[in-house]
Amino acid sequence: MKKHKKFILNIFLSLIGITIIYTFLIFNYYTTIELLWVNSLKEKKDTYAAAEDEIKIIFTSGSNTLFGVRTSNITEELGVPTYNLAIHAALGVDFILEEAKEVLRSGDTVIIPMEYSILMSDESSNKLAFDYYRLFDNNNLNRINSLDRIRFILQNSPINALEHTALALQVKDVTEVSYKSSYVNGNGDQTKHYEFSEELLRNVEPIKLPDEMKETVGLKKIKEFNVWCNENNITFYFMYPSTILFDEYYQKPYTNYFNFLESYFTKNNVSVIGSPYDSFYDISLFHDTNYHLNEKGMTIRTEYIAKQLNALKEKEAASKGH
Amino acid sequence: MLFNSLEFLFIFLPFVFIVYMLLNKNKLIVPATIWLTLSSLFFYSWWNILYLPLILISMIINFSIGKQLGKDRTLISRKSVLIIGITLNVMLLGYYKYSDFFIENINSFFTTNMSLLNLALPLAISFFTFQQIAYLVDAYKGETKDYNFWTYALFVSFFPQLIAGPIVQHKEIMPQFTNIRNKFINYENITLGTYIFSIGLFKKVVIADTFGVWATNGFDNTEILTFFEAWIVSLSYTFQLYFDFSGYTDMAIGISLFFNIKLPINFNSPYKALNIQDFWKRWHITLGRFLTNYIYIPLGGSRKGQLRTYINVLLVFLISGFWHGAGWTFIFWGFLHGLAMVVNRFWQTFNIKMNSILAWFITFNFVNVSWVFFRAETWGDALKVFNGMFGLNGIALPDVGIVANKLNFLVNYGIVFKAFFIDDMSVIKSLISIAIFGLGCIFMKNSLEMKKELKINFVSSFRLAIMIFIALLCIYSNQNISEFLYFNF
Repeated sequence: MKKHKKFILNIFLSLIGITIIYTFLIFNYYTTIELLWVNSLKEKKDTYAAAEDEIKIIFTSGSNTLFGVRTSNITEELGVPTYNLAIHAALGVDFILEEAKEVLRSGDTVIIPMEYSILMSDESSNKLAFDYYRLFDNNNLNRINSLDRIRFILQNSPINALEHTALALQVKDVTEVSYKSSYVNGNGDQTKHYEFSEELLRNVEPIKLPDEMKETVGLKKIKEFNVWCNENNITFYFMYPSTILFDEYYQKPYTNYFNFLESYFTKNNVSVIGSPYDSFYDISLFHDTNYHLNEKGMTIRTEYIAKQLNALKEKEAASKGH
Repeated sequence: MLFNSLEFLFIFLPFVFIVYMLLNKNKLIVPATIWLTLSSLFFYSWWNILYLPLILISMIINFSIGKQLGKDRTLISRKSVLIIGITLNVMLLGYYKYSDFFIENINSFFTTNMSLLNLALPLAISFFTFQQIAYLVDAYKGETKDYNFWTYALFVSFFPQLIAGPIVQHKEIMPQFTNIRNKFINYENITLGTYIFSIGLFKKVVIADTFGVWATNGFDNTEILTFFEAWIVSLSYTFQLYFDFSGYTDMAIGISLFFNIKLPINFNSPYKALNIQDFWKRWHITLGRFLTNYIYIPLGGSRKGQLRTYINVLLVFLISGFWHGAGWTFIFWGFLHGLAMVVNRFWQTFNIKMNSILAWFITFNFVNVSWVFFRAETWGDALKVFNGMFGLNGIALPDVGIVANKLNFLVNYGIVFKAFFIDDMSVIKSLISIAIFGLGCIFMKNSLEMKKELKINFVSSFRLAIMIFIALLCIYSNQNISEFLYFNF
């Protein structure tokens, strides 16, 4: 009987020991290709924006902006230094907005074409953001609450890490074309995403609507960010993200949802450039996902944004003239 | 509450176990039995409390009928009581499980328009009904002893085996519930219980749920499957079902051992079977035992000549198919197995011994192919997988860089390269998993054999801890804990 008691005790002690060793290893060493990509992209973009002494325009959000806005063209068009800080929607609303705050100065303008997935999200923190802070920016790890930290660390398994590496090797033809930090220009815009990938876009569907139209965590954070911008003399414009046009978007319940968003931003005094319908594009203008425009699509969208910003500039100049 | 959920593992099970043992330690034997029964009913109600009255009424009626059968009556009268009891059970099962099936078929055959009842299937109804029918028959035969209601209620509702078996017999479980030696903590049983439970947990959350993703994608979310895709889908389901159901059974056996109750074995390496009869001696053994004892033998078994034996076998398997689900695909699955049993029996009359490898190959592939009907929700789904498996939708290889580059010459032979129904990484994972676990099913010892050979030393405990850790990691990182497949039956 004694040996069985000892056996059971050994199981418990081994479990505790394995958990401690595992947590230590995963916390300090677990990484993926995606994380390395996020880090190298962020390092570059932060360096470009931080080196700018002039009043500037910043674009940020998830990858719809990385692939969809050519800020180098906007810089030329408007004569104002403009940077693209957008990386990946999976980083979550908190990460995107908090990181933007770090580079914004009084007098700057920030434009955020946030993805619908973020607008609909009720997650206060994201695993990718946690992994980024854990490996590359420990000082900001406290942005993720303690319970989520435990949850996220347990979701990192060595099997996933191996899987990510193997996947990256298998699909290298795709990753090499699009997802490389070296393909980002001096303003932080994606380049070399020329083609329309019929195969990758074959199964795209309209965005999935939330069950209920309510103020989500995503929307609330944007509202609070607007207040922060006002307090710090920063001009903030919200924009709708570039995504594939589906006929369904002209029917209910989609029209209801878009109306809800528009009235939400109006009610909370968030300035918005354009409507959701101005940011829908034909599928042929996309690269590999329903949020990634290809270069031709990027040009069309950039021209539209530059035109809108010019109109705002003229409007502002006219109001100052009066 | 699922065995593989955190609330079960860390709250329900430890709490029920500790209170049960404390009550017994303080010689509160009856309250301990009541506690375990109420805990089992709570466990059952966790899914839907609306079905609690159903199982309670079923238990009360069957217990009362069992009591009547135990009394001295004239033979005819006892037989009538038994028939009433069995009829009530079959009616209950029929009402909840088969009403809509019959209505649908009547509507289809007679072009009527009767509306469906759309009743949700009460959890475990197929299992507790069969178990109680067996109890009534045993009571009629005088093979049951006089136990009180709480012990009977525990026999029906004992939470480790309530939802999906093993289907236990009154005479093998009731004495264990009342044996005073089983009322106290037995560390040897806890060790063995932990061991076999952990193997079951690992089988379910690490192996079965992984195969489940590929099987579900293929059966439910894909319109056309090419040759290799269809084989990945069917083999994934074959392994998912085995690891899911045998994993559940291992967990049930393990948990029962904590309470010093030994449940009968239900699986004995079924995919090692060399013929279909052998397969059914190894797969869902307690269902096979029930069908043999309570249907096949009363029908005459093999005592009434060859033709009648074949008819009896076929009937038993048709009933087995229908028991598994109210659908023609299930009935057809049962028919296929019945037919295979008949062919196997007929073959045995020639006394020719088949090569073992060939025998295994035929048996395994037959079982694999027949599972397609078992899993498919419609004939269309089954045909979709079949068309793929027999090459009617062409042969394709995954359009993955390395494969496509190296094997490009195959295009000349009509083989195309295309994106598979699962992503490229999953294709590789599925092929590796099928190879590893397929070989494991054939060459490795099963959990019960491993239990017998367990060495009580540090290495074993450490190995077990690693297995538990991996399983917990899978549970924790998986947002949607999947139910056991046999919960649907």
